[in-house]
Amino acid sequence: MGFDRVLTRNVGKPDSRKIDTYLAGGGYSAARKAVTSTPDEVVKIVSDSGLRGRGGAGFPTGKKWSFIPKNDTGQKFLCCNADESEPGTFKDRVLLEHDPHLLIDGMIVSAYAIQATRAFIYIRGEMHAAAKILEGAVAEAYARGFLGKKIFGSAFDLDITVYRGAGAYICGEETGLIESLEGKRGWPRIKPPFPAIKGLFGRPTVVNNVETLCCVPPILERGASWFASIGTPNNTGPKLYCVSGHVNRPGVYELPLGTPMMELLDQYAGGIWKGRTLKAVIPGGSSAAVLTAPECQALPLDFDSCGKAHTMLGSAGVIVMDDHTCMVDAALNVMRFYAHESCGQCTPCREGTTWVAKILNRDVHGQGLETDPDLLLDVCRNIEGRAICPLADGAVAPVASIIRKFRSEFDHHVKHKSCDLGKAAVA
Amino acid sequence: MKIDGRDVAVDKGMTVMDGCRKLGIYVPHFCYHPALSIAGSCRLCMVEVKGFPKPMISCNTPADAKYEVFTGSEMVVQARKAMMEFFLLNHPLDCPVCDQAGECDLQDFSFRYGRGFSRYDEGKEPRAKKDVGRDILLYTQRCVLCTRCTRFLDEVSGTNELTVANRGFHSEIVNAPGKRADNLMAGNITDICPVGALESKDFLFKSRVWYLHSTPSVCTHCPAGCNIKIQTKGNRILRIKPRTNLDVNGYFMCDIGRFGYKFVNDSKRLTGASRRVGAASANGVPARSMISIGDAIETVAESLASAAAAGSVAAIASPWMTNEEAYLLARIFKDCLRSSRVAMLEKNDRATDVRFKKGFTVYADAAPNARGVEDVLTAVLGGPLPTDAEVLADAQSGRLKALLFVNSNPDAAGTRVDVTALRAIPFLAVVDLFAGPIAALSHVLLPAASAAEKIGTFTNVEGHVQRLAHAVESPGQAHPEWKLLVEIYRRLGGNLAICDRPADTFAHLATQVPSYSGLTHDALGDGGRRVAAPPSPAPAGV
Ligand SMILES: Cc1cc2nc3c(=O)[nH]c(=O)nc-3n(C[C@H](O)[C@H](O)[C@H](O)COP(=O)(O)O)c2cc1C
Ligand code: SF4
Ligand code: SF4
Ligand code: SF4
Ligand code: FES
Repeated sequence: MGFDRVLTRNVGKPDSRKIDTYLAGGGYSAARKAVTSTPDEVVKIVSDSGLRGRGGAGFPTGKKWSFIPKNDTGQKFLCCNADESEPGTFKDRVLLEHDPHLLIDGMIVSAYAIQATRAFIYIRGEMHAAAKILEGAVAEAYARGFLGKKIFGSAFDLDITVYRGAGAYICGEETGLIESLEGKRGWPRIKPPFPAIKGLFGRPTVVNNVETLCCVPPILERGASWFASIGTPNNTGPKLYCVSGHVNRPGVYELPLGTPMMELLDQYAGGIWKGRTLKAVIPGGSSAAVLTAPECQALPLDFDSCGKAHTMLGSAGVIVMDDHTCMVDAALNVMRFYAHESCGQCTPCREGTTWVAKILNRDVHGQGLETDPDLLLDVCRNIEGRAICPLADGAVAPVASIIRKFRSEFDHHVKHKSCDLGKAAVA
Repeated sequence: MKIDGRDVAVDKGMTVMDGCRKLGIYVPHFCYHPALSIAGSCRLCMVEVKGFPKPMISCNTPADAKYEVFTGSEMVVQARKAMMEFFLLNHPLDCPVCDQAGECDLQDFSFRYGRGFSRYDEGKEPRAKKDVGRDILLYTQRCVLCTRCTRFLDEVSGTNELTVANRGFHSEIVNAPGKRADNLMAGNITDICPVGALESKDFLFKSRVWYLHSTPSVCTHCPAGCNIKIQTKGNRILRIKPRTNLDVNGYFMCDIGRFGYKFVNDSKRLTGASRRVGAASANGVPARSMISIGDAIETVAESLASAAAAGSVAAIASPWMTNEEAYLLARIFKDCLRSSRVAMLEKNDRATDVRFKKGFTVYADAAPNARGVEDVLTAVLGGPLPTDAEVLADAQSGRLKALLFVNSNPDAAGTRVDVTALRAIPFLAVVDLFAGPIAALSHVLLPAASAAEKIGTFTNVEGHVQRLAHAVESPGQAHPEWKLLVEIYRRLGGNLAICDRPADTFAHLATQVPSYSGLTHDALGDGGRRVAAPPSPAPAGV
């Protein structure tokens, strides 16, 4: 456990959320440095670091910023995505609650890079404590002149507003977030246009995840090549992994990108609980395809390796299932969530997620038909790639992969009207 | 861009759907509507673009000269079939009792892309029917959530009475808190709803739509001149629908026009000619007896002629008359009576113009053709025309010996004319739809036809000349004003060449009214023609 924590370096310190604690560790030097550089220089450092978005898609952050039109002198916006609602994901919350100034520091740098003078932190409605903490931290930063007019004596103005969502998963999707910030239903937008061209209130907008923005100050402080030296090629920097499920020590672990899955589970998360064995892992929050225990063995947890394994690192919500887990039930559990959270705007997701959940429900309860696995796969295929936003694909990926990889459990359910684990399968 | 092997020029801002429409290739869709913003949510309009692994929605895919598009490939048909299955999961399939049946996109697409059996075994979840507006019911379970209605109410009318509530499978259209869909354009949502979800209470269960006969015409309730379809069964109008005309009303019409047809079917319409028997007491209404149309015409012609000889004849022309009728009236006065005392009936205004968010305007003027009648009378008789007040003042003072008053107001009681002046006229001939206060004082009363019962043209407030069509027969002996006027003209020795049909009258009119020069009924077609630049203020169309 020799990794020198970067993002969580202040977590556990007394008063870690206070501005003086943050300043004592050299905080806000990144923001100071940024406003005396040119925006292009800041974008270049971040591009060179190889930082990829931590919100789910792993999109290169510097590249995202460079899509903001440069010759447009009008209002631009930066939105911090703190909606963290992906099942199995609880990393941003640690940063928000324990080191809010790291985020504000990162937001100043990022806003400067895209020349946005207004920024919002869109925080999940249920995170009451974090919202209070953030509001306090923003007020502290204003009091010191780090936010507001002419910050750090430069010509750059920046206002940050903390905006609380109402608890809809879909408002974490970046255009759902933008709609919600505008005061509308959180219905994702069709693209084009993309937010970098027409985002919040029709203006160029960047949406970045909390963890992404928190990676930015260390990059400015310690350099792009330092950051790039952590992790694996093309997958650089430190990463917060959220381990949940059937392990002895669930929690958030900060490790270099590309840390092997089994190292994370065995060395950090304390191994599978109750002396049982590993059955399956969903590695990137519930929207990622499931991996069987053998598939987990040599897997480095980074964007590219997970992609190659036909799943994704996503939000790095590592959901661990032991050999007592009914995979039919697991599939239902996941699909119920998506059916409940589908915004209902587009047809395949609105109708399809509920239909799949209904079929899985009858399967779990011993009323399934022999044809159900194929029907489920066919309906999943009809949803996939045909919806407005990635929620639908995220709903399909875990369920379709569970059916493909654990099909015998479905057959068992149909044949014996019960689960092969002997779990109650009462109608 | 190539679509199904055919080339189409790509303009800036054009989508693949636009390209398909240009080529006349129909791509099934629910949420797309040319008058609304792109929602891109029904996912039915998918097409295949060569080189892209997934089907793309044509309505929001920017056209590109490099694209090769297929609208009926295997990939497309599979995707469409899948989408149809989703649409039908919870759909009640109550076509036998659904008014939309026969003009329902869901039915049509199911016929082409649906399957005959369902893979959905889990019982349908019922959704309660809702009363969402004065004339509008929402059969919630039939809704495909295309949001055309909510986008219309947001973008076009700007009134936002409906919205979407709940999420996912439980999403449904509801009234916004405290609001009912009662705005003057609300009826349009029943038209643009692609399925039988939003239904008109007025038309509810009146007829299967395939029994309706549809006649293209023009609205008669304000000078916007919205293009309409008059839909009839037998000799009754059952509903009015807007007809698209991008130069006039766009895709829409207002509810005054939509439901204004009822006067046509009204059993109190005049069905025969009558004359007054005996004198009227100071305030009373004289007794009447029925006479034949021929006798009535003869009396009118004689009375007008003898009053003209004494130099004291006049007419009041109705803004509900067609251009052809105004022309015949003007020619009667010019050619036969040698008088130019023809006034235009004072307009019968509603309170104010009502202008909606996207510009659609319902005018305060309740009559359709003030502009055309004035154009024609002025061109033939020379302007300025006398006002109706001046003519009535002549009547009051006893100077007027005979007055031909064409009223033809669909609103039986709706007149601003001070009828006491009419009592002083020795001979009052009235043409009207109802036995209103003006008709009651007439010496001879002729029953008129409504706009739905005659051929002719109206000129809208912007100078757009458009054709009316004969959709139903007049009740009893009622006749279009042009027929009555032709008979009077004939008896007074007029030029018979202009009399035969309204089309001939119009062709002649076009030689006399400079701005109409060269127009014919045929040239007007179903879309009409603009005769002059629009006057300020701004246009009515959407
Ligand atoms: C259904 C859905 C939910 C999402 N929820 C979140 C979220 O809670 N937090 C987040 O940062 N990104 C979330 N995302 C990803 C965002 O759309 C977006 O890609 C991300 O915020 C970009 O930040 P990054 O470039 O810093 O990764 C979600 C995406 C989808 C489709
Ligand atoms: S995919 Fe689902 S969540 Fe996304 S826009 Fe469509 S209905 Fe809404
Ligand atoms: S009521 Fe009709 S127009 Fe409105 S969303 Fe439903 S289907 Fe579309
Ligand atoms: S706006 Fe005028 S012309 Fe159009 S439908 Fe209404 S009353 Fe008729
Ligand atoms: S018409 Fe294109 S998605 Fe509905």
